[in-house]
Parts: sequence; structure tokens; C-alpha cells
Amino acid sequence: MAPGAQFAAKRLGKELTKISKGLPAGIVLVQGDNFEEWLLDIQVLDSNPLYMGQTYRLKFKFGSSYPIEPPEVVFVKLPDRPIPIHPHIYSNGIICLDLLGQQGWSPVQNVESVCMSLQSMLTGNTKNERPPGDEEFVRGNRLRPKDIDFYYHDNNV
Amino acid sequence: MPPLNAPEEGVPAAGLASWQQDNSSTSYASYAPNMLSELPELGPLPETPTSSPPAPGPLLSPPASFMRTTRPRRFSNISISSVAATVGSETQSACVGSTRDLTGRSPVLLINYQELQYESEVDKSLECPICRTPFHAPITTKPCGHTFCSECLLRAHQLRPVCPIDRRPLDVERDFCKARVIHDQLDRLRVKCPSQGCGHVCARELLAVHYERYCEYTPVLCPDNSCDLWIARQDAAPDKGCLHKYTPCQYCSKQVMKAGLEEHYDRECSGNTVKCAQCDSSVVQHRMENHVANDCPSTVVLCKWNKYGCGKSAPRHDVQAHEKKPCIYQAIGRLAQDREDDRLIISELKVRLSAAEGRLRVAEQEKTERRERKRRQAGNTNNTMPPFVPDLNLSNSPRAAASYNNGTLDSPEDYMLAQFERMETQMEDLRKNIHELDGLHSMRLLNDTMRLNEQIAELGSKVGVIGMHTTWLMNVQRQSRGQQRAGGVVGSPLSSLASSSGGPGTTNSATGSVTNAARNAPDNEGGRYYNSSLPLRRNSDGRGENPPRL
Repeated sequence: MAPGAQFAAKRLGKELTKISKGLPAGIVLVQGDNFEEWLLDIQVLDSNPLYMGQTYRLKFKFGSSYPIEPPEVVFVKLPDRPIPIHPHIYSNGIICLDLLGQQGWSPVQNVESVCMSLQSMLTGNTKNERPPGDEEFVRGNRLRPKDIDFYYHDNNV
Repeated sequence: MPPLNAPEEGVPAAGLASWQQDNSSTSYASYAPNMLSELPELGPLPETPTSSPPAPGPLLSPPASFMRTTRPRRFSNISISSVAATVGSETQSACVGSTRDLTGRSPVLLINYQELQYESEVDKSLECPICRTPFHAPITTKPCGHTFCSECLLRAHQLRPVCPIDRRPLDVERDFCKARVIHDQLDRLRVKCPSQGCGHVCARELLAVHYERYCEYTPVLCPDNSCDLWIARQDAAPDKGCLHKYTPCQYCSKQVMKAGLEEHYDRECSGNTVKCAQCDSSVVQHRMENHVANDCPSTVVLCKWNKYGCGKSAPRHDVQAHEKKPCIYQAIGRLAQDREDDRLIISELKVRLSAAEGRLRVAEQEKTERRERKRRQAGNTNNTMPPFVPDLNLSNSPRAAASYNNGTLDSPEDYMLAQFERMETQMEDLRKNIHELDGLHSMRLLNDTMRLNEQIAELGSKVGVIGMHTTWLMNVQRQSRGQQRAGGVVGSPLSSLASSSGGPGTTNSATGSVTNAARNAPDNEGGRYYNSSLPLRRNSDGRGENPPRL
């Protein structure tokens, strides 16, 4: 096991213990049996018409240097789990959020805080649209989310 | 929240070495320039209004997390890797590094402080927001007062030189200081020793010493130089060789490392167990003896109070129940055990008492000696010798031997120690006595010989006087004879005296009044008689007519 992986595993173990004691409303851990990949479901709880009644599936991938480096977080599309429509979420599930990039990430963040940030990002959105250039991006992108050089321009959402 | 005002320098005590190394300013300085040059032109960000620093709750406030910047910022790999080169070695070493302990024994696996198990629940506010374990070697950021493990903060700082909580830019050299209060608080927490199999629990600050020096289960480098695996210290004797070589299991012929053999028997090996004839449980073959002696519930054993009269003998589980009930002999047994404990204590006290007595005796002896010496000094002026009785009291040794034989001293070591101590005091006594005697003898000798010398001198002088008398008498005789032969001169008192044919004691009555007077005088007054009545000079050549006085 790589030296950092032990650190990551320990930290994730701690988070898991905490999660097992309870998560905020609208967040459910679906799968968390290893320290590499977790699945969570999130819901938007208020009456935002864009997301009401929907459940979205999130996939967290943790590297060996988690929590120093951010996890890779994407929405996953399943028959009953759509990709939420949002000007910063591509239709393939990739999320453009500085919190999840090298710059915006902070090691004090955790799975729970990321989910809550996403929840609030959805809650605050009123635009029923995908990011500009969504189609080309989805067609052309072969990069992993963390390797994409996002251009964080929008401070309103 | 105000920044913690921890003092700058000069910490402390044991166990902090690694920490000091971690955040000593030199190691910061070595990579600070890189960091500074890479500092983004990012002004101080507004502190998040809600966050309570050390424990960032689940609610990471949106203003901070959604903050957008107008251009993507990346650090050049150079800066990060050079930082990693300086600091990373330390952070990594916490996981797999090794250190050579002070006794020069083989290096031990370093303690991973994140893995430690605490005896009691640790307050959440004492957990590092990064690793979520109780702080180890905490650092506080000066501008914003957030606290992290030094290792965690340095790692995060390598990536981005800002506070992980509120993103204030931080300079390693200027903005970090040790969180001493928290550190001390955490070092008092009781933790379990991280070595597998060791159940030791101690304060965290003492753990490093226990782990690195004393714990028998601490993983150390395999004694075989060609092997770089870890092995519990108790198995790392050089004569055992490398325990990481694969050997076939004696039961299942699977290749197993020697070090993992016991675990293999427990977990995976099949066919190694036999049924215990008495309790029906399956036991690894070579452990059967131990099982029967200590564990097997069906083996017939005696009640543990059997020494004190309980005659119960039954299968172990019955006996255990019987002992728990409890056995009626338990009271007596406990009493007897207490007595034995007391006896131990008493014998120990006896040893100490005898040692104290010895010391006291020595002290008393010294005192009397001092007094004696003083008296002797005073007595020497009167030339009287105080009677000296050397104190050669050796009665200690038979007594001590007796006490050992009586069983009051338990271990031969105690006995030997007591003996040794007594011997020492005796030697000291003897040495003193000998000194005393020596002084005494030389004094006596001196006094005696002085007296003898005086007497000899006196005798010598007397002999000389007698010799002179004799010469004088001989001279007188010779003179008178010469005068008779000459038929000579009459009338001189000398001649009349000489004619009386002898010394003063033998004079005849023929001569005059002078001789009569001489006869009347006592013998010893003779000298004076001659001197006063005969005004004659005594001749130095002995030819003088006047006899020398006595």
C-alpha cells in the first residue's frame, strides 16, 4: 500500500464512522465498502421546480492523497438517476465546480461537505440549461475531471 | 477567533524531536522561497463568516467554496516537487520510514500517530480537520488561528500555501507556530501501544519511549541484512535468523513465513488440529500441552486454594465455578497470602533495619573514639595513658547468618547485599581499630623508651662520678705515699689528712679538729664539708685534692 493510501484510508474510515451515525437530510450513502469509490444519492429538498422530486447519484473516487488532493466527483446516469440540469454540470455528469479542483479544494472538506455544496449549488440555480459547449465537450472529452482545466468564470452560482 | 498566542521557540521535552524537526524553521526556510515565488496574486480572502475554525462542520459556507477566480492557477511541478523533496521525506517517513534508536539497535518502524487508539473518546475539538484524528504535533496558523497536525498542514501547504479552512495565504516561516497548550493537553491522553500484541497503555508523550525502547512487539528491521521486512522485536534475535524465509508448514505443507507461522495455524492451516480427548475442542497439535495445562475445561484440576485445605478436585470448569462461588477456603487462603506478603515486607524491613543498625554502630563508635582521643590528648600532658580496649565486636555476622538461616531474608541476593554491607562496616571498624592501636603502641613505646633513656643517662653520670671519686682517692693515696717516702713536710692540712691513711670515711683520730668536724658531718654531706672547710680547688685533671661531689 502506498504511504499516502494509508492516510487516505484512515481518514475515509473516520468519515464512514461519522456518516454511519447520520447524514444531513437529502444525502444517502449507497455504497461505501472500500476506500476507493463511494456512491451517494442526493436530493434537493426545497421546492426548486428544476429538481423537485428527483434523486441524483454521485460517484466519489478517492486518490491515495485524499484529503490533501480532492476526490473526483461526478454525477452518474442510471435509469432512475438522471444528470441534473445545471449551467455547470455537463450532460455526462462532469461537474465544473472550483471546490472539486486543485485550487478550490481544501483538505478540511469531506464527502459530506461536498454533497452539501452540490445540494446548495442545485438549490440556488434557476437556469434550466447546460454549460455552453456541452455537446462538443461531451463528445470530445477523454480527460478525467481532475485533468480538465476548467475556467471558473461565474461567481453567481 | 483570536489566534493562539503560543510562544515562539524553545519547546521542550521528550517525544517532541520529530515535531521540532518537522516545524523547525530551517526546514521551512528551505522550501519557503519556492513557495513565495509561486504565491498567486491572491489577496487575503474574506474569512468565512460561519466557520468555527478547528472543527469545520459539515456546512462549508458557500461564499468560500463557490469563490470563482478569473484564471486557472497551477503550480509548476518544480515547486511542488522541490517541496516534496524537503518536507515529503518527513511526512512519508511517518508511514514507512525508519529511525535508529539511541541504543543502536535495529531501526524500528515509526509510530503512525494517525493510527493510534485512544483509551477514551477524544474531544472532537481536539481533532485535526484534515486527518480527523487527535492532533499530533499541532501547528496553529498565526493570522487566522486554525490548528492542524503539522504533518497534515505541511502536506496541504505543499499543494496550496493557504489555510485549508479559510484560504488565507500562509507563509511557512512567518505564519506557523506550535500550538503548545493543545499539544500538552493531547500528550496527556492515554493511548494504546500500536504494536500488535502489546497491550500497553500510557500517556501519549511516553509512548515513543515505550515503543522505541521497551516494547517487545515493536516492529524492527529483520536481523538479516538482506531482508528488509519488519519483525516484532522479541523475535528479532540475531541467532534466530531471518524469520521471513518461507518454510513448509509442518501440517499442511504450505509455504509459510516463519514469522507468520502461528497466525497461519490459527487462520488457514487445515489438518493441524487434533481433538482434545477431554473437552472435544480442536487444538493445534503442538499447543495441546499448553491447552491441557491451562485451558481445557474438562481436565481435572485442583482448587486453587488446595494449599490451604480445600480438597476439591474436579474438571476445570467445575473448579472455576467452585472458586467463583466462592470456595470456603478462600478466606483462609487470602489470609495466608496476605501473611506471606507481610512476611516479605517484614523481611525486607529487617534487612533495612540491620543495615541501619550497622550504620548507627559505626556512628557511635566514631563518637566514642573522638571522645577518647580528646581525653587522651588531655591525659598526655599528665603523662598518663588511658586504658584502651579495642572494640572488635564481630557479633554482627553470626546474627546475620542466623537471620538468613531462619528465613527472614528471602533471596540470596538480599542476603549477600546485607552481608556485604556488614562486611564493609566491619572492615571500617577494623581499620579504625588498627589505626588506634598503632598510635597507641607508638606512644607507649615512646614513653617507655624515654624513661629508660633518662635512667640510662642518670646511671651513666653516676658511673662517671664514681670514677672521679676513685681517681681522686687514688691520687690522694699516691700523694700521701710520696710524702711518707720523702718523710717530708708536716703541718699542711692536706698532709695530715693524707696521713690518716684513707678517704674521709676511714680517718683515724690522730689528726686535728678539722678531721673531727668532718667525721661529725653526715656522709653525704662530705662534699660540702670539703668545700666549705677546705678551700682547695678541684683539679680538672683529677689530680685535685678535693673529691668531686656527688
